[in-house]
Amino acid sequence: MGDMFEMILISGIAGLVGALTGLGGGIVIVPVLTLVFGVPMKYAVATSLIAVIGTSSGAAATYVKEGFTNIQVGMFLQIATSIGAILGAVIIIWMDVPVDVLGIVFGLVLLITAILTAKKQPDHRENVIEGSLTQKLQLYGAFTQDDKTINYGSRFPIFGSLIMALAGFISGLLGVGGGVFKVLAMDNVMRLPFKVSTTTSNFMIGVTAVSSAILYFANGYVEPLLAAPVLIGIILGAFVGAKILKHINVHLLKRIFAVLVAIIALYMIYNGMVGNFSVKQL
Amino acid sequence: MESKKISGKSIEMLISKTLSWGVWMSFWISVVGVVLHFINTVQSDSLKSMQYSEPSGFDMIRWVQGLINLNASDVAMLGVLLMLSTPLLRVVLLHFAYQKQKNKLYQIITIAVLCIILVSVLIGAKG
Repeated sequence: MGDMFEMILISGIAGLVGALTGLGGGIVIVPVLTLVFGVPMKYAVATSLIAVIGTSSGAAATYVKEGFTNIQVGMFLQIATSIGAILGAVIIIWMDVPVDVLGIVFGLVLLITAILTAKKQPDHRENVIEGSLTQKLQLYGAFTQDDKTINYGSRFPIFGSLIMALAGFISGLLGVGGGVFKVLAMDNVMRLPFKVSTTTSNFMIGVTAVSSAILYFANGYVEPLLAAPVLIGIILGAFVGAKILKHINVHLLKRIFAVLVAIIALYMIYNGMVGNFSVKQL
Repeated sequence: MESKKISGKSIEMLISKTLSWGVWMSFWISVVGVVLHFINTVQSDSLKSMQYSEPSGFDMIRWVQGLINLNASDVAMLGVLLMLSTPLLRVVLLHFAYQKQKNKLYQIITIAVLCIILVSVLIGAKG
């Protein structure tokens, strides 16, 4: 019984910090489940994907209402991320990837996440170019800020889709939301405004995670009594996080979280290298 | 007869409400599942000692029976299934919203996303 409360508490903290930093809680769930609770990697990834759907859906409900999320950009890019997510899940479920190698890959992805989180992202305002592919695909929009309507366009939708496919692949393979890679595609490549990139990324994460979670579910890797406490904790944490967001110095918290993520990353890489994942799961 | 168009704002509100309902319903059902687990299990299983046997596919009939008998694991599974279906429902709703807006391109795109997820279901069922 204590374990379940422990799990709810840890997931709650993951959800809280995830909501405050915009990173979701998925990146904490897999290391905790595998290294602390000895849960096999595939079960941990499946559980994390369910948690990721919970946090992203909860946050998206608020962001969509605020009008920053570009639903059309999200739906267009969803094609690439969902294909990537299915490929990632197929590899982990049917190809016998050594669990320690997965641990190292997870660590490396976390390191990249930490670096990208700490780095200041540019904020773009692109015009819509007449006759361009982005105009034909309707990848533009507007939002209101300080009582002003800000119109924006985007660039390079195909290149953006390719990076999105990679983000989906990472999500399906490792059970994370892959938000930083999605933001990288939308902000740095497609040159969308930062706020639009982060909220649209969050909007997409749920469908991306479902695309691969279905495969884990169909193959019996979703353990409901493991997923339930994680889901309870992470939803509660994300809910509280969204409420206190206005009163917190998010930039400072983001930097602290980036350092924490980097430590977890190094810990994962170390455990992978010494073969601890396979030992814990025997 | 021309179909009634709906605004972008009302799509956003509809999506927001769908997500919110899905998440909280799933949350409360998961709470019921965990509570039932505590009530029904004399000596509660530790997550650390949980046995992860060779995974087996989802058995719908066994699950429904478990749900009727208020089996903790099957109730918790209902919460998980609800969580899985929330983003899917969102795509379906968006498809109908685009249909009302007569936006052909995004009707096709939403169908494409649903087809990709269907492929995932089919691969899963075959595996």
